[in-house]
Amino acid sequence: MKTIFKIALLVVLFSVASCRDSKKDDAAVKATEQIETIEVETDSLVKDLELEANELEKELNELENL
Amino acid sequence: MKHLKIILVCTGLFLLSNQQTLTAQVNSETELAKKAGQRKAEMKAEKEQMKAQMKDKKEALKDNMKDKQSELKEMQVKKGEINAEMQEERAEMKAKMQNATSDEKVALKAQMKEKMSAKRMDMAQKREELKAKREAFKGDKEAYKTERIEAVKARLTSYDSKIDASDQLVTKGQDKLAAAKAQLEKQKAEGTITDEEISKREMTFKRIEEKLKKHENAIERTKTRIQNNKEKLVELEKVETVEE
Repeated sequence: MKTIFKIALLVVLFSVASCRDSKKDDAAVKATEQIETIEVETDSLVKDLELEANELEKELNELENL
Repeated sequence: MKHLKIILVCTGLFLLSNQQTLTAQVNSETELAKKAGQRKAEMKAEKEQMKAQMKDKKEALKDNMKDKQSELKEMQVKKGEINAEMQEERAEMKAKMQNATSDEKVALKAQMKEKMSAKRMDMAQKREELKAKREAFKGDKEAYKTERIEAVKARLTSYDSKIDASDQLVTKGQDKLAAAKAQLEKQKAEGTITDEEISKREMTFKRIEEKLKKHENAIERTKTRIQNNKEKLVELEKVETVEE
């Protein structure tokens, strides 16, 4: 009886630990996804800014040649 | 005497059976009370369990609602930012469209569409690349998250130099524009420039002024967005520390 109780306790402990781990992993994945969104958004924003700066630089060069 | 004996035996039997019935009755009553008590306790335990479950469910729903509300708020802020960006683009497009012929309008629309779809494609591709990289990582997910936070933080800081360059470009542009305007005024005063050339230059000045203003706004917007993203990263880092 004691052995059965010990095994049952171990199973419960393992399942609780694995549930906790998977919950933690899910939270980490969700946060990583948010970080990826930030990265992609900022990259795109800075790329747009660079393109605009290049365009402006061309215009300013034209201005010098007037 | 014989009759008395019979009467005594009958009375004895009657009394004995009566006593047994009474004992059985008491026993069954005690059993019933015991069973009722047990059932009541079971019902109470079930009720408590149900209550605890309901409380858990309510809390989970509350948390979910809170998450969704914060997501909605974030979405609204983002929508506002995108709208502000789009408004400028729309105004620019409108101005271009006003002076364009029908053929030019079609070409402008196609150009705009192509630009937007290229941008979307580029973003989607980057997202996919990052997702593939995340899924290919076999180690601790928390460690990967920390690694990404550090990488993105470094990237955001590296963008500061690009923003500074843009700031300098605007200052340089304003100086150049002021010098060109002064030169035009001088030429006008000297009478060494034709009216056609004057209007051409004024048009150029106007266009450059608009571009400078647009770029200045874009710099401000980018700075704000980068700052917000830096704060968001700090928040994401904090979540990790609290969980630990």
